[in-house]
Amino acid sequence: MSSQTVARDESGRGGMADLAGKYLTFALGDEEYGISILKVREIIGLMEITAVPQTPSYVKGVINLRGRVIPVLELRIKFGMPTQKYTERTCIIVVEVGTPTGALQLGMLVDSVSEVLNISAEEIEPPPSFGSLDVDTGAILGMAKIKGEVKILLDVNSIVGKGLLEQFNAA
Amino acid sequence: MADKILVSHLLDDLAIKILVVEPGDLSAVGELLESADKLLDHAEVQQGAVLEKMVAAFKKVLEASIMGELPDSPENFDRLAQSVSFMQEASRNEMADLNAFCRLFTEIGFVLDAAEFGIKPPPQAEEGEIDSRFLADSELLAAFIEEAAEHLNSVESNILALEKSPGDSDIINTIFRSFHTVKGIASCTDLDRISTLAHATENLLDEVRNQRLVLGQEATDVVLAVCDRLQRMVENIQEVFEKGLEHYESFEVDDLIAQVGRVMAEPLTAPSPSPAGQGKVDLGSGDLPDFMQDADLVAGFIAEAFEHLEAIEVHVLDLEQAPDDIDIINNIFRPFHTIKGVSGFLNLTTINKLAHSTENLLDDVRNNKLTMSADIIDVVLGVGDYLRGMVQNLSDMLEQGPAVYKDFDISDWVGKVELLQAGGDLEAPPAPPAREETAPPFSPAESVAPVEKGAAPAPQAAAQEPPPKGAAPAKQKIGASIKVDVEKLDGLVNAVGELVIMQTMVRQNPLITGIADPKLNKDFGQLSRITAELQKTAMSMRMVPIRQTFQKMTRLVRDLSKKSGKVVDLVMEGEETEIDRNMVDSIYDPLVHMMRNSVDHGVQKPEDREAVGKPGKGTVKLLAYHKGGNILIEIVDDGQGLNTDKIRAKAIERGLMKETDQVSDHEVNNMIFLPGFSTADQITDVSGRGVGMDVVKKGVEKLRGKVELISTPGQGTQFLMRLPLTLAIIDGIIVRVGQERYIIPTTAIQESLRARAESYKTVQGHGETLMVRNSLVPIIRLSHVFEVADSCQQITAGIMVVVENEGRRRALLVDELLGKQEVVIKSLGGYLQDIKGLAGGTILGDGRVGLILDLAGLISASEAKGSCPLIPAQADPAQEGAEEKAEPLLL
Repeated sequence: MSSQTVARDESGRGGMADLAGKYLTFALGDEEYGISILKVREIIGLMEITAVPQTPSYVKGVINLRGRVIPVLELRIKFGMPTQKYTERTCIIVVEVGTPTGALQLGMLVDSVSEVLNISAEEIEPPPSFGSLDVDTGAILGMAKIKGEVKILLDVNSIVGKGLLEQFNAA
Repeated sequence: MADKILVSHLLDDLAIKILVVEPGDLSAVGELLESADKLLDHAEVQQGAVLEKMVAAFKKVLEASIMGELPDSPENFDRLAQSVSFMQEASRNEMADLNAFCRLFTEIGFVLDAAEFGIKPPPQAEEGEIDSRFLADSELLAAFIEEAAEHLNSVESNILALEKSPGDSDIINTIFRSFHTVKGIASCTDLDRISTLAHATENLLDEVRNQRLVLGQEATDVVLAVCDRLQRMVENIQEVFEKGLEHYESFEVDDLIAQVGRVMAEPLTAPSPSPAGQGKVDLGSGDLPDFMQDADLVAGFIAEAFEHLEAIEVHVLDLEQAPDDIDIINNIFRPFHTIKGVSGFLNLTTINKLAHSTENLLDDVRNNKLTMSADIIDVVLGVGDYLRGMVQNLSDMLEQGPAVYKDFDISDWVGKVELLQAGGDLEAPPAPPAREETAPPFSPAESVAPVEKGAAPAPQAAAQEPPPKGAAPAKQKIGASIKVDVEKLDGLVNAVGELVIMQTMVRQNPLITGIADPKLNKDFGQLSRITAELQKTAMSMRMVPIRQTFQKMTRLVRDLSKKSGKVVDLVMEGEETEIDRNMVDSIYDPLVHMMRNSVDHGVQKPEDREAVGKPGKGTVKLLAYHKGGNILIEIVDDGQGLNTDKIRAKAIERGLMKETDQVSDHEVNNMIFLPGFSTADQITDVSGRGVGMDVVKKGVEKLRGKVELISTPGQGTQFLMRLPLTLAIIDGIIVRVGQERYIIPTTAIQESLRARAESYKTVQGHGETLMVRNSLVPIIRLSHVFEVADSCQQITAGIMVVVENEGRRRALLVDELLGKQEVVIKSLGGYLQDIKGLAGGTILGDGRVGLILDLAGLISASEAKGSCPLIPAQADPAQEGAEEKAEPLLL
């Protein structure tokens, strides 16, 4: 999918060393996910979201982040999970992704934020192979095994970046 | 010419070879020797004695080092590499610093006497007499004064810092660079003495930073003294610049140069450690003939050059009107001179050469050695265009890297220029006496050229007369402006917009409104006054005069009238009117179309004009002014006006109106803006009017403006373009649909009303329509297009907002009108930018985001979506009784 994926496949497990670092983990359903802390700008509580018409369903709309208008994606919908009622733990992680036209801020609506973890290279394994099944693992950087729990490390750019762009062009 | 280029190629080649050569690698040195030989052959032919001798010396050193007579140490190769750059300078006909060249060779161990080259002492010819040449270019000079003062200040503080931590190479480098820059810009502005003094000091510092000299107490004192002297000189120049030539003070610099020389002659007090690493890198990069080295400088040059080229074009066109006006010729001469100077400084040889030869041509003209002719004007215009291409390429390279470099062949143009010049005697330096008679070079009238009124004032008197309205004041302020990054400015404007919104939010907070304290009210009043003032100032910072855009029209009118055989006078007024800089580019296209229309179709041929009793020369007026929070641009011609009858016939033929319709001439005339109406061939046959008028309308509507046309048969046509002052703020009506709020731009709204059941019709193939003032307007249900839940579905219960876009009218069904507000437009950010039907977002008074509708997109989105399942208007009888009549709502 992305050139990054290709590079990773070639370098095999050795590439996992690049992934070591600090991750912000959050919960979505029963799973824990992690994104590189370097991509995270801030975490804000749920606020009123203005729906934007003519967008894919996972685009919840836009919010006013101190005068800037930024889009918010609901990760549950993006990952094909059933939605659930928002709780007081529901929050928006504001991330910054690089695009060809410059840095872009986006909000990701998640069930709750867990913690910041320092994950070493040994703890990270490459994304699982699903054999001949056609499963897109492009957004998964690797799996981190920490204290017996598995956390899925995500590539923010491919969650919100490429896929989003394609869908919009189609829409 | 060919030899010269070859020589410079050979030198470049040599420069690269010497950089990569390893000491002791005899075969590489042999190759160098070969190159030098080749160079010697060609240098003989072209460059005269100096370069030849330099190459010869270079070759001897090489031979000596092969023979082992001279140490082939890395230091020596560095020095040789440096000497190549001096040769390159010499090959470009520049005054190479031969003293430094000789010194290099002496250091290598090869004694070379400067006298061999027949060097004249540096040009001190004008010693004693007032050197007023530098006043010729006030703009450049102002920039120089500002910059030089800055650099000298930094030198002072840096030297003091150096005393605390002697030997800090960073600080030394910074000081060195400051002097280097001062030298460079001084020589561009013909400030010979400043340049010489700065140059000498630069050499001294160069020695220091290459660790050949220790900056001791004495040397520091000298550098500080130089700095003081330079500061005084720059201050004096500023005084002269502001108050006039009588304040000029002659400064002696020789004493300081001698001091600098003395310090440099002193033997090394500390043993020089091997100048490895850093020194080598410095020299290496300095030797590469790569003009992209200093991107900042080049970027500055590009921006400046574009301005100058524009000025040249404008002045050349003025010159056509008054070919003998020496002021105008000077005004053309000066930008070329500046371009030449700066491009030379940046090693942009081709641009430099072309500008230089054109400058020579113009110099001959202004010294009456040549007379101005149409040929010269054409060539100067052509050179201007060509230079623009070259500068554009530079700017592309800066952005996209050297890969986009294009090789420009200037020999064609240089040939043309030289051919024109061949008539007169050339190569004379600018003769000061001739100029003093005609126009004092610092005359204020020239500094900002008045482009108003095609007819130029009497040439001789112009310089003495007070400057016409709109020209710069006689005394220019220096340091009164700074250049700011547009992004920063936009950031400021955004922040101020937020401040205004936050203020409203705080003020509308129920807790606050509950307080009935007069002091609080007063303070809030004061606060809003301050924020309003702040907003106004922030907005005004983005405004630029419309002058540049107008000036481009001069050229257009000239070319158009020449092509169509008409005589047209372009009169411009209100060029100082300010406009949002983001709009400047967008109004250009509409303006071009309207101008073309006026010149091509409006103004008749001279003989036709005389037949109806008008002067043979037509006039097109271009006006700009502010009115009621808008900027208005008018284009008025005194031509034949529109042929309304033919347009009416055409409109009827196309089914836009019925023969029986009562449509005023004015409305008919404005039909030429309809898309498709004007582009048809027939309309050109019919009235000779309207090519691309829908482009005009579209362009203006994009800027949320309006365009109108007023035509008086036989008297002329007037285009009236009304634009908002800024693009950042939009005047809109906030409407509610379900739980969502949208903002409709006020300019697009025609009326809003409550619909009656009987005016609602469904038309086969058109879906739902509403009868508004006897015409059927298709209905768009916003809730349907945007898929909003829980909104009003009853035509009669909601409110119909009738909007117009590109000639298409639509009635939007909304739940409620919430109010009218000026809102700051924000991008929805990144990916959400291109959503059909939305122009952007804004922060509403309660801090939530509201979406601004884009009507063009909305209309096409609704067409794509098709009609929604119909909900008959009379479905709700309870509502119907209440809403009997269509009541127009006030906006």
